[in-house]
Amino acid sequence: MHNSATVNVPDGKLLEVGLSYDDRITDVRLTGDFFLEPPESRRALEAALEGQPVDVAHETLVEAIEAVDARLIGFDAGHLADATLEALE
Amino acid sequence: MTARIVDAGTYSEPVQQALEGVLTDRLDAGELEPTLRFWYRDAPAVALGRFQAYADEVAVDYVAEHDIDVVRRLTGGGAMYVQPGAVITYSLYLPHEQVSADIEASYAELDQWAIDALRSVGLDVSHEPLNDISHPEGKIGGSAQLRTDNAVLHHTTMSYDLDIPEMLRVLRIGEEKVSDKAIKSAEKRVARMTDHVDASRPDVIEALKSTFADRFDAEAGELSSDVVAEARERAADRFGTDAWNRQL
Repeated sequence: MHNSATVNVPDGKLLEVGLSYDDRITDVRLTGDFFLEPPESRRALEAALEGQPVDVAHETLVEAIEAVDARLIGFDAGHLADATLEALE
Repeated sequence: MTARIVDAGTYSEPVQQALEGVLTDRLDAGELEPTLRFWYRDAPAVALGRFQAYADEVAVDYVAEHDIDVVRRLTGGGAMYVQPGAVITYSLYLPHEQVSADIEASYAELDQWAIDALRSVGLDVSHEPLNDISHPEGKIGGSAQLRTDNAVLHHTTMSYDLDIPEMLRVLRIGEEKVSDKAIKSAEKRVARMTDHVDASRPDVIEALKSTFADRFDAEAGELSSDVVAEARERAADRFGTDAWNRQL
């Protein structure tokens, strides 16, 4: 299955998560008008979501996202977890 | 702080975006003094945010038919449609120690001198977090930043008298139905300076330069030929290529 979901962060930015899944998440693509430092960490954030089971808990996703050495600007780990879970619905 | 103001040079969009990387790298290496640079373009273009999906933001067929350059920036943020003479874009290249470490605060600080300059020509503008310059009638401009080890790039584009109907043909925010994204973006209307003041574009740029010079003890300067040559190389290798611009 392939799906995507968009989250509008209140007073912030727009995040779109595209992903494929079977029993686990694969091929994540994170796009939008957010900021990220360093910019190269976008790929690390995608990798943190890949391999997670499709019934993953929100809290587990947040922990995996926060473990990435990246400064999220205009959104936070919770928003990215929200978009990911919505794409799995 | 002493700084330099560069107000010269017309370049294509790929070279403009390449200059951002070259000048940020030079400042990072201690080879450039703090600098304010004004941009002059030779053609309409789209400056795409670093993390945006090409096909989500631009009307792909329209930009192809009209030969509009779509160039992915080094900075995040949203897509901007730009036309020569109809927008004002400037960049600041600064060392970290002159910029607040708090990112939200740094956008407000680095926009403030420009807001003061715009107010001096009669525009009722204010900073709107995170990165907008707003007028009661809508968004007049937006900023974006990139940080390296020692340098901060802060660049801003503002609408002077942008052709809004054309913008809506080029960017997909003009489409009736582009999910939530269109609704969010369309709500943020674009305000144009010419709808509110009589000041010419050179008058506005002069106000920006004099406000900046008063505050930061700045003098006029220019880009060295090797900076421009390096930017042209990077434009050919990266900012003028589909591999970079259409990576997402």
